[in-house]
Amino acid sequence: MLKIDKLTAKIGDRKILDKFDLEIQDGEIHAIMGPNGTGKSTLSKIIMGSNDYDIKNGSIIFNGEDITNLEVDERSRKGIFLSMQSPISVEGVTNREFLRTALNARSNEPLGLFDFIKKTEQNIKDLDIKNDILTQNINDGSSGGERKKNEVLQIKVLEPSFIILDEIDSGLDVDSLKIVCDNLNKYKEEHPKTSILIITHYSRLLDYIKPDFVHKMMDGRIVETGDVSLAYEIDKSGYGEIDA
Amino acid sequence: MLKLNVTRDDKLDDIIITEDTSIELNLVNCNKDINIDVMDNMCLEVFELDINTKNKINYNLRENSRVIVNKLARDNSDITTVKIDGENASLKYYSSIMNYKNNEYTFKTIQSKDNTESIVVNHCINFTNNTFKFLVDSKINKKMHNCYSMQDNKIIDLGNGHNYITPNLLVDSEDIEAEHSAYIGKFKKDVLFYLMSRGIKKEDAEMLLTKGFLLHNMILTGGEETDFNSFIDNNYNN
Repeated sequence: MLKIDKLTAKIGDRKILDKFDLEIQDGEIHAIMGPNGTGKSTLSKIIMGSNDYDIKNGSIIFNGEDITNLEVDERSRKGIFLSMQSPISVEGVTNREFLRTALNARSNEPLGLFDFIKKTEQNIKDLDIKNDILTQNINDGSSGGERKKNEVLQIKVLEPSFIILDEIDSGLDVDSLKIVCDNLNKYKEEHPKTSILIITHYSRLLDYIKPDFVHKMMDGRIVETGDVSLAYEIDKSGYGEIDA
Repeated sequence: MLKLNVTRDDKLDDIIITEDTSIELNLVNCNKDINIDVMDNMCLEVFELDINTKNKINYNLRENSRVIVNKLARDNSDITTVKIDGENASLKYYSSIMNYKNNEYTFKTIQSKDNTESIVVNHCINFTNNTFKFLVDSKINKKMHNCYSMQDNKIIDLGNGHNYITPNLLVDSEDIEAEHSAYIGKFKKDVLFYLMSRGIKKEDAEMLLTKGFLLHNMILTGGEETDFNSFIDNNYNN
């Protein structure tokens, strides 16, 4: 599915990723944990195609294709989805216009309103989102939890094959976290080949979405890989006490 | 609804509003004096779609009158003056302009009675390297009480235009509330990234943001919303 090979990225003179390697197969769930400022969110944005960073070396291969130089929208249409840590609000653009435009960008046939409503209605109910979300501007006046639910709604509507969850648990209360994770698990069941990369500080998220692999990231590279027990160990001891 | 389609050669009499009224104005290639007098206790809503105009538009608001204007224009150098001459009168004026040439849009409100309000929102997208200016004065006369004045002016530059905003508040009274703001810049990079990260091409993302920016805040019902959206479609990079 995804292979990142010796990727080095900078912002200004500062190296953010340092010969970063990661390989994720179809259907696998990986989690990356690491202290603040170690490059986790940068990694997610670079995979998505942000041009805020200079890629100095290395490559990103997605389903056998080198996407290192592809634009953000092209990567998305190939199946990559980044659920953002702090989803922004967009003045004057409703969720309905946004989602329909995004769906139509993936298809040669414009999606009719009836089909669009059918596609979104049940997902809105499943996520326990307010009924009027489609006529609201994107994340306008929404709480942190509502914004995260909107990210998951977008996943369920756009049906990506590779999902990056950048701190999906931040800003969520216990009930909302359960709803979000139940929906993501259901999506994964219905789309078994979909791969997920979870970026998180806390192992509590991994109680809900079980990863196949957990990576510890320090100073722009992965320094240790294990199963979910590595996450519990990090939670217990912090990042400093585990040997790299 | 009173509907007026006005082009360069049409004669236009003064409009006196003596009952609650909606007016649809479609002004094309004209340079006229337009006077609209809103009498006591009347409500007026205006839906205005203009192309290439240099009109002088004068509103006069009498006691307890309410006026809401939703104006969408391509290449506009109108001079609009709103005299709020009656107690408890209220103005909400939303102008959005698609700019392709050199234009200077002038807007003045003058509040000369107590308990009045003016809310003025001016948005422009400058698509070219030409010059666009918003010259906006909000004046509240001396010794007025309990008045409110707000003006919000924004220009998004999609070319490499020369853009100017002069947002004047001319206030000589203590018992009022007044605010103004001005912004000139591009669409925010993180907003474009967000839309594109869902597969939307850059040009489509800019179109979505353009419509959102130009129509945001306007008070449109179904029919007008369709007309205003079509106006943008027809005049976008065209």
